Amino acid sequence: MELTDFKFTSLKEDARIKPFKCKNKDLNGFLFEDAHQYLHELMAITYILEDPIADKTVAYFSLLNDKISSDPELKSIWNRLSRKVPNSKRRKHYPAVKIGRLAVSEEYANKGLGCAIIRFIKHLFTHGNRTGCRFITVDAYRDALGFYERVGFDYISTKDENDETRLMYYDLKRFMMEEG
Amino acid sequence: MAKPIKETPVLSGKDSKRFTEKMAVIKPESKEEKQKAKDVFEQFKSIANFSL
Repeated sequence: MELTDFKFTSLKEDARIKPFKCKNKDLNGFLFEDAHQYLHELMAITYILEDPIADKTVAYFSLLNDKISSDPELKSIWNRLSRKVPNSKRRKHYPAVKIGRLAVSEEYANKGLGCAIIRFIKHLFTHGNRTGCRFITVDAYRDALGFYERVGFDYISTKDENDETRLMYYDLKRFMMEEG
Repeated sequence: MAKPIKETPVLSGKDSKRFTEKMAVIKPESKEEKQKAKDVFEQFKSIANFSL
């Protein structure tokens, strides 16, 4: 099975969603019950990988605009980091793209598709992007935390340590800088 | 109805400090990882039925 065996689409309002089932009921529910509504309200766009031969949904992910805002009352930290972050680049708010949902069908799991989707998003938002975007954020389910750690994400807060989902982020600047 | 997508909160206190410190020390991705991402992007582009 190759990625190129599939079809990649952007969900349309009148589109029928092909059968999909992953282990998480909430992720199944989002695709069939909420994705169209998020699209209609211009809140999130859902992208779908389909297997045209099996006539099934292989994976999907939903993207929306986001931002990370940091408390401005941090003069001491800024002062300490002043050599590394010039004044002109110190901001309170940083533009981001949020992965609202990302799921791979049980049938196509453990084949690297989740990792491929993350790589796709990293490249997409660092090459020819029409607006600035510094971070990828994600609202990750507990059983996916290890996956997001492996693909370079870090936790935004310690306050959601006991929640069902945790907010994580990836700094896209890592993609723009050269090693060494 | 699935759970709503959680909003990203305004960072404060220790979270804000940790975030700011991490932002100042960025670990670049390897050339290999960047190339893999580019290759994957091209594959997605080749099977997309919309403009990328």
